[in-house]
Amino acid sequence: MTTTSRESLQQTVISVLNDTVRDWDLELDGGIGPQTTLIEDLAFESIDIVQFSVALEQALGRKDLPFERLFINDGAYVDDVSVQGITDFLAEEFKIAA
Amino acid sequence: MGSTARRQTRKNPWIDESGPHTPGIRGVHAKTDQPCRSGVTSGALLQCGTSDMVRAIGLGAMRFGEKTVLEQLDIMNDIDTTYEPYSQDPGYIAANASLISSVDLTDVARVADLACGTGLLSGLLFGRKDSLTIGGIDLDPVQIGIAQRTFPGPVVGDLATLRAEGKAGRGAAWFKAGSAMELPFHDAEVDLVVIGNAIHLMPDRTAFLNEVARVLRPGGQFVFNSVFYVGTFVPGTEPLFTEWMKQAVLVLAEINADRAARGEGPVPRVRGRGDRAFRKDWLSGAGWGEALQAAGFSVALTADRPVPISAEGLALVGAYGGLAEVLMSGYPVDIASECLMQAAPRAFDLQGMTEVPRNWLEMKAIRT
Repeated sequence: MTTTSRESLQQTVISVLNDTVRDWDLELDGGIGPQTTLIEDLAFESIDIVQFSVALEQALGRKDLPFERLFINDGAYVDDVSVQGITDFLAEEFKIAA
Repeated sequence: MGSTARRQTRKNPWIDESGPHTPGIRGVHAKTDQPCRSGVTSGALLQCGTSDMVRAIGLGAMRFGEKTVLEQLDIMNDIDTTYEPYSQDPGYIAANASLISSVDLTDVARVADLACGTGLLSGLLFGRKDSLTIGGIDLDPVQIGIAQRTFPGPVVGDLATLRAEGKAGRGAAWFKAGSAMELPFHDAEVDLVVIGNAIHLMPDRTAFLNEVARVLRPGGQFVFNSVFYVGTFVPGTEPLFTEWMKQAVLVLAEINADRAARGEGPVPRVRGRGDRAFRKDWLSGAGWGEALQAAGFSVALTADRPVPISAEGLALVGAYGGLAEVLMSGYPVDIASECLMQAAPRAFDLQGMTEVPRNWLEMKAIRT
């Protein structure tokens, strides 16, 4: 896909997340948005994080996104990550200005 | 605590967590009290030299890339998903040997080896000083059986006999299936307590440290290591572990493609069986130091020891069902183990690496 803007990246993130959770029994008021978090809101387990990461790479046509920079901070795992946070990470990787 | 103990949360989408330690077979996790979620193979294999079999069949084929996923699946029943293969990995043994070699055994006669698994630390200690009496405790009776069969010295059948042997100046070991949270030893009965790469699994950290403090005599030593702590990742090595998990997902996709080609549905997954991601509660070395001091210890040593992990070593980690069912929660454990095993050499190849270091935390504390 073409990733020319921050908005398109965020839409891709949301699209992949919607695909990921499609068959899950989740109640999401207003659907997935920028503030939606993977752990607290979507109840991601460890493997969900990985499968989401792989699906996101496939959707973006990349195989080398350094997700550890997103999920590990100062030698420890982050508590949670939001759609906004993922978008910020991708924007940096795709060198898209804020 | 016993059977009511809760499984400690150990989260890490890339590798972490439940980490390599104990075998989760035959109904219970060895170092947690949680019943196993699936009846993984291994019992019979344990009777006939599984490690060699795993290395010969599973890993050999995988490392040289000569078998397809389907072929691997055909032999899946021969893959050992217990902790035993990894416990024999040279890197794993070296990490524990270095820990034990640093222990001052001058005033040590009575030892407790907690979450002892197959008795690796007990054997290493006995190798250094054969007059030790060692009580090994592990939740998993299968591992206890292995420890009893493989310990390089006399093994007695009960604690009273172990005590008698100690009084007579004869070294021996006694291995007992049970929880490390409730120890069978008297107050201040033990000179040295060791726990190898399992302290992070204790369901109640404070209660566990208090129990260790109870059984140790004043001046007694508490020595442990762990590869699941803040600081375990050597800076710059995280991508390898990230790639490992990504490749495991891709192997699973290949398996699903093969199943689809046969007209079968994808590998079933039941969500909700694993803890939520990132719910780790790792401590740093300093954090463990604070916890130890609160429990009545003074910290004598805190060290990070980098230990290299090879592709084969990581595959052995992945083969361990207790880890696989956490890292790939909800999938059948045998398939999860297979994915992680096959993913290991792929990740190393893709990263252009032959081994990767990972830090082990080593700590020694003295009972005040």
